[in-house]
Amino acid sequence: MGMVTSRIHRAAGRFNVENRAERVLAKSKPEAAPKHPTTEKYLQELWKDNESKESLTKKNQQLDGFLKDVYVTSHDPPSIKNPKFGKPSERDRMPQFRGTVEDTELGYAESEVVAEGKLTLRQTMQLLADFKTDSQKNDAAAVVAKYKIQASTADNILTYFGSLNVMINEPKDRQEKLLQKQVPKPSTVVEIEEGIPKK
Amino acid sequence: MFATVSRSFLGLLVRASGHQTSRSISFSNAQRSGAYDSDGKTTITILNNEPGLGLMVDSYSKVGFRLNNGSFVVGPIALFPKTVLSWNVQSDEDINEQSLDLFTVLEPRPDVLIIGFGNRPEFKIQLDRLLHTFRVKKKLNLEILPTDRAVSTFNFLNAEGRYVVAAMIPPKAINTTDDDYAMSRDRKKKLYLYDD
Repeated sequence: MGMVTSRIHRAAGRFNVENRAERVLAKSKPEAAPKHPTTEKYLQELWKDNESKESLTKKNQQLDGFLKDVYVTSHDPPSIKNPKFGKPSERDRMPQFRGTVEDTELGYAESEVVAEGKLTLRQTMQLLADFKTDSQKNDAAAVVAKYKIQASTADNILTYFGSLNVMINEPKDRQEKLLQKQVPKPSTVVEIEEGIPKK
Repeated sequence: MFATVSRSFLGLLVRASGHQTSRSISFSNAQRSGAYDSDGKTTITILNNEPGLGLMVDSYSKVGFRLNNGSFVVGPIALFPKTVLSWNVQSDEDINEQSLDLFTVLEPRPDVLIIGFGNRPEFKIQLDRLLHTFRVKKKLNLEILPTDRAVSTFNFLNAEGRYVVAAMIPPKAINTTDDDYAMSRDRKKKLYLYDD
């Protein structure tokens, strides 16, 4: 029932709507909407007061002078040197290198700067190799002095890690002998070349 | 995240060995393409045999690990993308903050540190409890897995080019299949010989 009523109501609202719209558009100047009684009263009072009437109609010379003195200059923001603190949209943050990344020796990008108390894998291999060659000379105290790591850490590394001993079987024939030449010679640290020995 | 990754890897990894296969199956759809291409093509890439992907574990036994460069390493190992060191621990009981101290001072910090603790599943809870504060304090991405799953996780992450480090001990017991036996015989060139 409510739906029927609303449908009739809407149809009544739209009655002769085009005609009425044409009539409004045909007027040369649109009629302003009537003001609220409170606003009307306030405006009438304002116009009665001579001083405020003058301030509304006449140009204020002082303010006009201020406005003329204002001069705006603009310049581009300085380019951001440190990309870390720039906006993500800044051009400096875009990748600078677009070539193919070369394979590294150890399989990952090594740090150029090593913080104090830290070790790189290369240093670790070196200290383990040194320990193997001369455990008296290159003991934990020497490691602490050389690499500036904690004494307990140096002790743990030397206790729990070591380089591998490489054992190679006696070659059976000439072909196997040739193949074994490609395998790194027995050394204190085995560093594995990439890939698999060719057959 | 990595736990789920390794689990999905296991779907591919059926054998006890660490060989990883990634399959890409391409087939021509006659209805869609409209022209005869060829029979369905299946290619298999074995990650362990791909050159340039770094060091991976081909298989493991109760004694040690066979790596994809043809060497067999005896005992527990600390495995890096292209380097291997021996890890001097007697058993899974020795896995603690002291024996993992090296990984906390490494620069740059490893993306993931995988610990293969052998194959005592009941030990995992104890190890998790032991290393929980350690992983938080040292800000390490630690992944504690049985060795078989640690191997496959390491292989996949290394193939992806991540700086992944694994400390693994050989499991105390392993289940071998006929395929493993055949592969082992083949390696010794005794595949067609009778057992003594």
